[in-house]
This record gives sequence, structure tokens and C-alpha cells, in this order.
Amino acid sequence: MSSAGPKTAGLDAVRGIFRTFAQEYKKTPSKIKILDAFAVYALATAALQFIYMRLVGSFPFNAFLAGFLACIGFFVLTVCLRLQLDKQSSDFKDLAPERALADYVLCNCALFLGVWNFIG
Amino acid sequence: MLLRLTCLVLALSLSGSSAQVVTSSDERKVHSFVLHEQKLGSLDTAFHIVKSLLLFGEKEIPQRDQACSLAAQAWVRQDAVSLFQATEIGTSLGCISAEDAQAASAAAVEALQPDAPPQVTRAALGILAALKRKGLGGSTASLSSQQLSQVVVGLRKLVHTDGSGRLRHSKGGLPSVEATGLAYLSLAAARELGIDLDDEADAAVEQFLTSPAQVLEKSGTSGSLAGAGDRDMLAAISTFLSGAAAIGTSDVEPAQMKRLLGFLAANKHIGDVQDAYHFAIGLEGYKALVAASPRTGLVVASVTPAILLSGMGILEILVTDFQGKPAQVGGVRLVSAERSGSPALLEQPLQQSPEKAGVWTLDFLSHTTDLGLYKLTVVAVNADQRVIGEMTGDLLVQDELRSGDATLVLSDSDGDELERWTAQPGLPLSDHISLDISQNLKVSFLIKSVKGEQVVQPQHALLRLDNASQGLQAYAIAKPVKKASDGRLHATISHAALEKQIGQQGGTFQLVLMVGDTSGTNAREWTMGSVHISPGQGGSKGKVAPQRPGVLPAHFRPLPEIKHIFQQPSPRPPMLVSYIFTAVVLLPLLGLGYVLTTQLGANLKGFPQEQVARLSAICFHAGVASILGLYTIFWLGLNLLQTLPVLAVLGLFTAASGYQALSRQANARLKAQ
Repeated sequence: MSSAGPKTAGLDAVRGIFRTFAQEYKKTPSKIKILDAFAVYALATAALQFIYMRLVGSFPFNAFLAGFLACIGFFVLTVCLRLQLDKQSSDFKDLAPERALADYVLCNCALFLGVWNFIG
Repeated sequence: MLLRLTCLVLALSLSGSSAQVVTSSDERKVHSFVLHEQKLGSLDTAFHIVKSLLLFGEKEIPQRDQACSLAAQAWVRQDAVSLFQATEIGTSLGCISAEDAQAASAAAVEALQPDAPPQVTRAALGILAALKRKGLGGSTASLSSQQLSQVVVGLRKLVHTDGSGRLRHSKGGLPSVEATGLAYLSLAAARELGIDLDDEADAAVEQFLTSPAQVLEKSGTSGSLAGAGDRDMLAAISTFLSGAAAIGTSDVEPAQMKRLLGFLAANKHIGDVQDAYHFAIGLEGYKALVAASPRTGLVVASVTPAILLSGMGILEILVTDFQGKPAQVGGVRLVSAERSGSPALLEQPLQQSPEKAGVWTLDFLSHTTDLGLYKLTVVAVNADQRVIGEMTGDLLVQDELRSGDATLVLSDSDGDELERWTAQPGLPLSDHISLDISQNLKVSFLIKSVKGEQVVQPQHALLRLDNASQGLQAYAIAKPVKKASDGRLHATISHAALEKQIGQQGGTFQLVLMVGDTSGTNAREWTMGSVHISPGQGGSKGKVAPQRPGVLPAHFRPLPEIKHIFQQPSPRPPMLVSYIFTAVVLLPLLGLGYVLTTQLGANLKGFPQEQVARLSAICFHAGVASILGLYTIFWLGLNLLQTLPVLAVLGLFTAASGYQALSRQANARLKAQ
């Protein structure tokens, strides 16, 4: 065996993980995928803001924090909604999806009130 | 220089008891002040102005109509003090009607109660007396002798004050100098009403007539009256003087009268009409007391603060009345002139000066030439040799001071003499003195007066060692030599003592002798020579940091100026960069929209179709959008307190519509299941 064997095996394993993930993810309901898209959007926005802060500085810091934490908070709430709506999840079997959505809307209203107040 | 200044200040402070008088000029100034007061803002001010001007002899009051108008408005009031002020204005200016007089006298009779406060009693009786004076009798006839006697007896508790000056505002009327003055004024008004009092009331009146001296004594005002600016005490003393004069008592000691005059003189620079009024009535009362007992109005004062042995040596005593005019007396006598350590000068008559009116003189130096501070007691007598005025004060007998030869002796730690010098007065030594470790330098000298050749033990005799270049100073105090009978002083400078003052540096110092005393007209500062002090060795206790003459220790010096460094503005990116990144941050939103619509197939097919459910859903989404819109407006211009009420309304709307929409959605889902 050559020395590149273990490396190739590692790469193959990673590729296998991704392939399995993709195949299983196709089975995910579209509503859940929509929530996943929102979560990815929030993370991407947070990442772009972080990069901007690193490039030009953190002044005004409160504004950066407001924008960054808005995205992170939104991401967290979206993930929580996803957990509540996912039928495969056994924790929230008795929770009505409408109730979960109402909680999600209320929490977002509170989050964005705080964000807008902090943004300066 | 400092010694000279100290002696001068000390001499000036001993400038005899300066006569405290109230001259005609002072009265005119107060009169002029009141005359120029135009504003009569209140009844109280009008009363003070009108009464002051009448006391100063004004026939026409410039603000008569205004004062009468203010008095007319007061008739509706029920408090006795306001009615009294209005009555006084009305009767003095002739603008009181018979009906108002009737109403005032009825109110006064009603206010006369045995336990009423002294200011109310005085006001009520004052109203009745003023009305009777003007023939506006009113209802004074309804005032019974019994009622008046009870009131007079009730005032008896004010005979003995409790030490306070101004009347304290309490219902019972606590004893004070002012309250007693008001009681006196009440008694005078009661007499004016001419109503017979019973025996008990008569006894109370008798007590009052003999109480003024005791009242002043007990109140503490006989000791030392407060000086200028004590307005409360001015009102109290003035009321007392006015009252004592009103009842016709002469029971005030001459010493008390002198202090009262001094108090009035200290308060002649008045600031407002109330003070002017109190000053005027106080002075009027004082004049009346002097007229009743002329001996109490005499002012005896020394006009000679100091006598020089080289001068004439004449002590001058000025005898005037309370207005500063020379007074005629039978004689003036120096009772005693005492100086510590010297026999007292007793019972010397003074001669009347032919050139200066009111001045009596004594050739003081013909009796004693001892230098120092003398305590004098001088009395003025009338033709019958009765004492009618006295004075206690200070007299300084001074002479120029000079120093004799000074002897400087350098000795070692065992006391063995190593070297000796003699310095002539005022001249520095030509030799250079060296002071090594464990050596001592003893300087002895004599101070005498020039004219009298008296040996003087000065209050200040110091040796100063001065090194200007290094900024160092050290001192040694000179003391009398105990065993010496010639009054010599000596000061010892040891190396160890110097180290405590200047540290271990050493150096060359100027040796300066400084002498000063109140009995000397001059202070002496004699540079005797230079002394080289060798540096100290390690381990010495003298680790004190050296002092720089004229420079304060570090913690007294001003701190360095604070220069504010303002925060530099943080670096900001160019606007273009900000706009570009704003657009970049919006890209994920566009990406989301693309993915949702094309990849994930998001659509609105699940939107409720039924009318009510549709409306509820629209309202719910509109509510959420409006909340986000409100947040935007809040960021742009509103504050939290403006936002929260609107948010509450929108929140309720959104919650209600959301509940409707989601509950219908849930029902539909459950039906489908």
C-alpha cells in the first residue's frame, strides 16, 4: 500500500457522509427545507456582517452587535421551530404546529424589538 | 520683614477702645436710605417705611396714598399684627375711617387674652392706644380692667428671659429679649388706655420696671453683643430699647448701655427698610433712656494706642456723648494702669485739654517708662465725683530696640570651647565658622531699648540659617539665660538638630539673628556671618527632606494642569464601501427568495380560501408587517415610551387575528386527518 492510502480513505469517508446526508435530506418535507433555507440565510447574513466588521472595524459596536445578534437570534428561533415542526422529533409530538408558529412569531417580535432598540 | 509687619498689626490692634457712636451723619444716611425707597410691595414694608420716616421727622410721606391703599386692604384680615400695622399707618397718615377703626378695636379686644403671644398682645394694645390717641375711641370702652389686668399678669412670665434674643415663633410666646421688649410696649399702651389695673397687675408692672438690667444680664447680651449683620438681634435689641424707653425705666447699667450703643453703631449700615426701622426705633429708645439717665449715655475712649519713649508720652482720653459730641464732665481719672511684672499705676487725675474739646490728657511717661502693654481703667466723674462713665483698654509703651555685641562660642560634644567670636551689632563676622558633626555653636546676645536703655526680653528671638542656593533654612529659638542677671539671650545650634531640619546635605549658610517685640517700634534682622555645616553621616535620624524657603511642600503646591485628551473619532470606512457591503448583506435575501421559489417550491396555495379564514390570515400577516413597520419608525424617530402603546395595540390586533387564523388552520388540519 502507498502512503496516500489513508488520506484517500479519509476523503472517501467524507464524501460518503455528504452523499448519505444528501440522500436522506431529500426525504425531508419541503416545509422543513424552507425553514432550513431561512436558517442558512440568517447564518450567511451573520457571516457577512462579521466579515465586514473584521475588515472595517467594529465602530459603532452596538450596531454590529444588534445586526449580528439579530441574525443569530433569528437562526436559533428558526431552528427551534424546525425542531417543533419536524414529525421525526419525538419531543414535540403533542405540540400543535400552529402553536409553534405563534410562539415563533411572538419570539421574533420580542427579538426584533430588542434589536431595533439596541441598533442605535 | 515679616516681623515688622507682625509688630505693626499687633500695635494697630491695640489701638485703644475705639469710640462706638452713632452720629447725626449716620442718622441722616439711614433717613436718606428710607426716603429713597420707592416700592411699597406689602403692608409690612409700608409700615416700616412710614414709621421710620415719621421717626426721622418727615412731615410729608411721599408714598402716602400707596400706604393708605395697602392699609385699607388689611381691614378684612383677622390677625392682630396686620391690623396693628394698618392702624398705625391709618392713624399716622389720617386715612382711617370710623368704621375701620371700630372693626380694628373690636378685633383687638377679642385678641387680648392672657395666654396670647406677646406680639399679639402688643399689637392689640397698640391698636387701642393708637385709636384713643386719635380720638377714634371705637370699642375700647368694652375693654374691662379685669381683662387688661389678666393680660398684664400674663406678661409677667417674660420678665426673665431664657437667654435667647429674637422671639421664637411659638404659640405661647417664649421668653426672649424681643418678647420682653414687646411686653414693655404692651404695658406702655395699657397705661395710655388709662384703665385702672388691679393690685396683682400693678405688682407685675413694678417687676417690669425693675427688670431691664436683669433681662440683659440673663440673656447674655450684656456680655458681648453680636456685631454687624445680625438682623435678628437688631430687631430684638431695638424692640427692647423701644419698650424700655416706653415704660420709662432707667434700670439699665452704664456698661450695658455702652454695649447697646456699640451694637447700634455696628449696625448702622443697613440694607433694607426693616433694618432701618429697627435701627430707628432702637436709637429712639436709646436716646430716651439716656435722657432719663444722662450718665448712661457717656462714651469714654482712649485715642492713644501707643506711646513712644522718644515722644511726648501723653495719654489722651476722649469723653463724648453717644453721638460723638464732646461731653462736659466734672473730671476724668486714671484708676489703674497695670502691666505684668510691674507695679500698677493708680489713681492719677487727667487734665482737660485746652485745645481739643472733650479730650483729657495725662503725661504717662512722667509716671512710668517701663515698656510693654498696659491695661488701663479710666473713669469720668460728674461734679459730685460720681462715676458717670468708664473705659477699659490697652496702652502700648514702645521704644526702638537695639542689640548689643553678640558672642559666638563653638564647642565640642563635651562642652569644651573650641573657638569664640564677638560680633558687633549690625556687622557680620569676618571669620568663617565651621560646624562639624557633634559640634555646637552657641550665640548669646542682649536686646535693649534705645531711649530708656531697658533690657528687653523679646517675644520673638530666632537664629535663622539660610542657604539660598540650595533652598535650605533652619531655625534655633533664643531663650533667656537662666543664671544670667543681665537679661542675655542665647540660642544653641547643634549639628544633630540641624540635620533634622535640613537633612544631611550640609553647606554654607548665612547666620541671621531676628528679633521682634510689641514694645519695639522696629524689628531687628542682623546677618552675623556665614557658617559652613559639614554633611551628616549615614544612620542619622535626620532624614527629613530639606525645605526650600518660599516653596510649599509638594502636597500644598498646585498640581499639574489637566490636559484633556478627547477621544479621537474611530476610523470609518468610506461611504462607498458601506453601500457595497449593504448590498452584499442583502444578497443572501435574494438567494433565499430564489431558492424558496425555484428549488423548494414555496407557494401560497395553502393560503386559506374560506372568506373568514382568509380575512383572519390577511389581518394576521398585516399585523406582523405593521409591527415590523412600527419598529422601523421607532428606529427612525420615536422613543420607547411612544412606541410601546402603539405596539400594544398592534400586538393585540395581531394576536387576535392570529388566533383566529391559526385556530381555523388547526381545525382544518384536524378535519383532514
